[in-house]
Amino acid sequence: MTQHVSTIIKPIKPIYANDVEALKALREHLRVIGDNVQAGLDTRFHRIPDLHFLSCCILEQTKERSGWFLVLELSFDGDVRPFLEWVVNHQRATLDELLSSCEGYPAPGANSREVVDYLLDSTPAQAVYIGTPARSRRQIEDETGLRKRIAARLDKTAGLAMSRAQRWQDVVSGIYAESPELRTVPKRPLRVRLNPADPTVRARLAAAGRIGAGTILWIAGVAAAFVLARTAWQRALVLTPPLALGVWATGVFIRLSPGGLVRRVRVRVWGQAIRDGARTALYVAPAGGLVLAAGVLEPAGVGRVLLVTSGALLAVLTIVLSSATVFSMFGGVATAAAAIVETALLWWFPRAIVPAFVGTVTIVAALLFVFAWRIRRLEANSKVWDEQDSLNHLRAVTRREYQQLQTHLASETDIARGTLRMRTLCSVLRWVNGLSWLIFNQGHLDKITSIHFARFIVPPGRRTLLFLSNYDGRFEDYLGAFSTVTGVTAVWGNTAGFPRPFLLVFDGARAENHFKRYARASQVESLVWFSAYPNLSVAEIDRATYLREALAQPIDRHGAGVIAAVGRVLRPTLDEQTLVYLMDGR
Amino acid sequence: MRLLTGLARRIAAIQVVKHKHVFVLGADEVRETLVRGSDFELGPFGGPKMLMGPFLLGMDPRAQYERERDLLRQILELLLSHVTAIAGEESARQAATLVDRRSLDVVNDFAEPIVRRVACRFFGIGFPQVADTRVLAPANGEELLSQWVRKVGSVIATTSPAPFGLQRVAESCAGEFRAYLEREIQQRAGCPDPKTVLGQLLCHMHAGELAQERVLPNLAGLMLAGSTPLVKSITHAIDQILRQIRRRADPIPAVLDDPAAKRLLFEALRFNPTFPVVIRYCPFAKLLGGGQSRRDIPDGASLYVALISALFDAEIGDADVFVAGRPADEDSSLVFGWGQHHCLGRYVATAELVAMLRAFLGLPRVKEFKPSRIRYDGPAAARFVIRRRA
Repeated sequence: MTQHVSTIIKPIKPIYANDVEALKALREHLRVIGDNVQAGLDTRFHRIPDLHFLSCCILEQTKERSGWFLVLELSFDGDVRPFLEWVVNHQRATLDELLSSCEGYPAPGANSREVVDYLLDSTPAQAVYIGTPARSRRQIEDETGLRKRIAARLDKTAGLAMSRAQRWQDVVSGIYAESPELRTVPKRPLRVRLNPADPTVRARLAAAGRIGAGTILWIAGVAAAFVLARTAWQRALVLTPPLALGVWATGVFIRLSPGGLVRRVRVRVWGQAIRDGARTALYVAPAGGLVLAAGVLEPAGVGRVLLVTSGALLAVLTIVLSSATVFSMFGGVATAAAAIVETALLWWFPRAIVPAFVGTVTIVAALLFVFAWRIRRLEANSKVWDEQDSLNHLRAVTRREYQQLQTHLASETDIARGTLRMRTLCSVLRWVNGLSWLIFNQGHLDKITSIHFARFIVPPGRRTLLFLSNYDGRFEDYLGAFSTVTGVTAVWGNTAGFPRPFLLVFDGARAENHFKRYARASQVESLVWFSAYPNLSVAEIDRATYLREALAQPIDRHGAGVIAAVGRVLRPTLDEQTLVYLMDGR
Repeated sequence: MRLLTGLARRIAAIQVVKHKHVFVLGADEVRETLVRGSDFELGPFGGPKMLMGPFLLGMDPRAQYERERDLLRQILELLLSHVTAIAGEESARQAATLVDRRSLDVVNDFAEPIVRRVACRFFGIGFPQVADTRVLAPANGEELLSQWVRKVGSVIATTSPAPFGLQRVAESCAGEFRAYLEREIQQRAGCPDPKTVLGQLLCHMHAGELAQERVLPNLAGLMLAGSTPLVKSITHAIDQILRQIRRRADPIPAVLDDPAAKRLLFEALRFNPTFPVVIRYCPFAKLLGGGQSRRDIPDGASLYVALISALFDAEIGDADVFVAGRPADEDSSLVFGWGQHHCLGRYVATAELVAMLRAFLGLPRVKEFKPSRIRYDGPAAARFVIRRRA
């Protein structure tokens, strides 16, 4: 199930915006809703089945920031339209209560379609990070407590004479008997399942690589060599090493096979020895063909192969470099177009590969140099925020903290002046978004393991950066983890008053205390905040899903040979180390 | 192997290769590895190989494990004097049949017959019928029992699955062996003989100290652990002693009483141990060793614990010289392992081995025997022919 986020940022009606008391009353009204939700007295958000998180806050008007805005943050399962239609059809009163103070919000009697259209006119986020990708709320709820249930079942068998594998089998059958719905394991998206950041995926890819290399070697060394061999001697050269080794291995295996057997069993054991011998022969089969190939290939041919290979590598490098540059400046669509055009050009004009590579490297280096020089000048002249903390502000923004495991953070900061700053920020957010989607989809954003849903938005009509995050633990720990992540300085280094960075990514947030005070000062009060599972951490959710997947995995049978290896690549098994981790390391 | 491991030990007592394979070579390090049974466990090298059901080696070491280990230890201690007497009788009886032989197969003519007869009397079971098997081709019931035990027990000491067709053969044998043991247990459940292991297990079962379904795995476990390795041990010891005689070292003491025979046995097994290398598994990253030999052991690593190297460590004075009277016993020597899986039946095994060794060395003109190469069936000794010099 794909998750989506929607951020509805709407200007507040002048009747509120121009009247301090009305605004205060609106704020108080939302705060009361928020308090009731947090205390468990108001359960209407719980009844929205696909909703993970919801928050509501008000963006204030200041000297630098124009207008008053109400922000409604939604994180949910499935597509935007069906979700909003469901909410409008079933929770219209709630929406009216939250959004009736906004300009353009349809009157209470208006039909549902108008309200849906109004909500669909939302502000796209520049970067979105989801800590538990493809985990629907239903799935998270189903899997809650799985760890404890497994532990309880393991405790039941702790006193029995069973092997580790038997105890795990007992757990599997017990859990499935209690909760048959856990038998179906929702598949994670391909980008998550094939992400090389996951060590198990790396191991599988490496195994697949080995099998692939073996197959290529076999085709090149045996099949192709045998077909291309011109004389009987050459064919003999291809076939001799595997045949000789196969016969020798079969002899050894027969000699080492168990004795004292009845004839029927002995024949079977010898049959297995012959199969093992043939398998051993298959491993070395390419040797003869490769020797033959080395003997008949001309130096000119070898040179040609090397030239083509290095040309292809240069082309790939050129395309990657230029694509990264285009992506930084113009985004995904332009990158795809540029990559296609460049590939086509290099295909048609292969002799232009070297000048293209040199030109690309030169241009990228020049752009980087100019950028570094400009950005450093801006950084050197930037003014760093260092004001007194406002106690009233602190009281307001911290009142929802420490009441459950999760916390909400809304922060609004002014983007530093100048086009370069804005473009740099957009570029960095583009990378954050891309990397979050492609690489950081394993439950952690670089070193930060506590974010459920987070998004960066540049609100319409304001030169500010809005950051909305639903995270685990305390503000201090969260920001402490932030201060060690390079990307944080790269993002907020483009905002006014941020601790001074060096060349965009260095220093900045590393001044941890200063950074935390700056973040607190930029925080916006979360008037309403709802979490469907306020006491579950990302790690717990992740662990529960992992356990559910492990329940469905077969136990490794230590099979040898290519077929067993291919089987393990296609369908991972629980080896001894994983069993120990599941049972003792839980 | 002794040369290689000795050289490697002198370079470093613990060697980590490619973050996956760890060779433990020093005596202290070997002991530490084997003592830390929960850090360095049998893991995949134990559990899946117990074809007759979970025995101590294949069990998750928890409460039941501790209970059963204590119970078996208690039974073996109780029956020690009895087995010593049986082993003496059977060894003398078998040796008497070999007095005039010019050549003999130590495994099949000497060790196997003694071990299986002692096993029958000690464990309290009869011999099976040849018709009980459809897999093996034994000459008689005695040989069938030996073959079953050898095939099923061999799986424990090999890689998993056992190679060269052994796994499938062992699995078939395990089914037959199980059916036979079930019959034996059923027959003797009514009036258990307390002087046998089975009788003791049944008594404890009747007393409610052992579950009914645990009698068979424990009986089979003790039989597997206490039969094939014994044959291998006595074969290795005799081989080593005859080799020393050929080197004109004459290791046989003038007065061959039990203590002298025991010291000779341990010295011979030090040179040619039954299990030169045992394997352990490290599920979580740990530190091993002290001082300069301290190493990080990565998670998921396999540890090759080289007993053969530790038995020649500098802690043993003049380790490379065969000293027949070198003090050694079951508790101080690494021959029977160490730590959590220190051989439970080491006293019983020593008594039996000493009796066999004394009987063999009591053969007339034993020094004239010339050893050949030991042949193996999987990890079990299958044939060891010795001939008198012309």
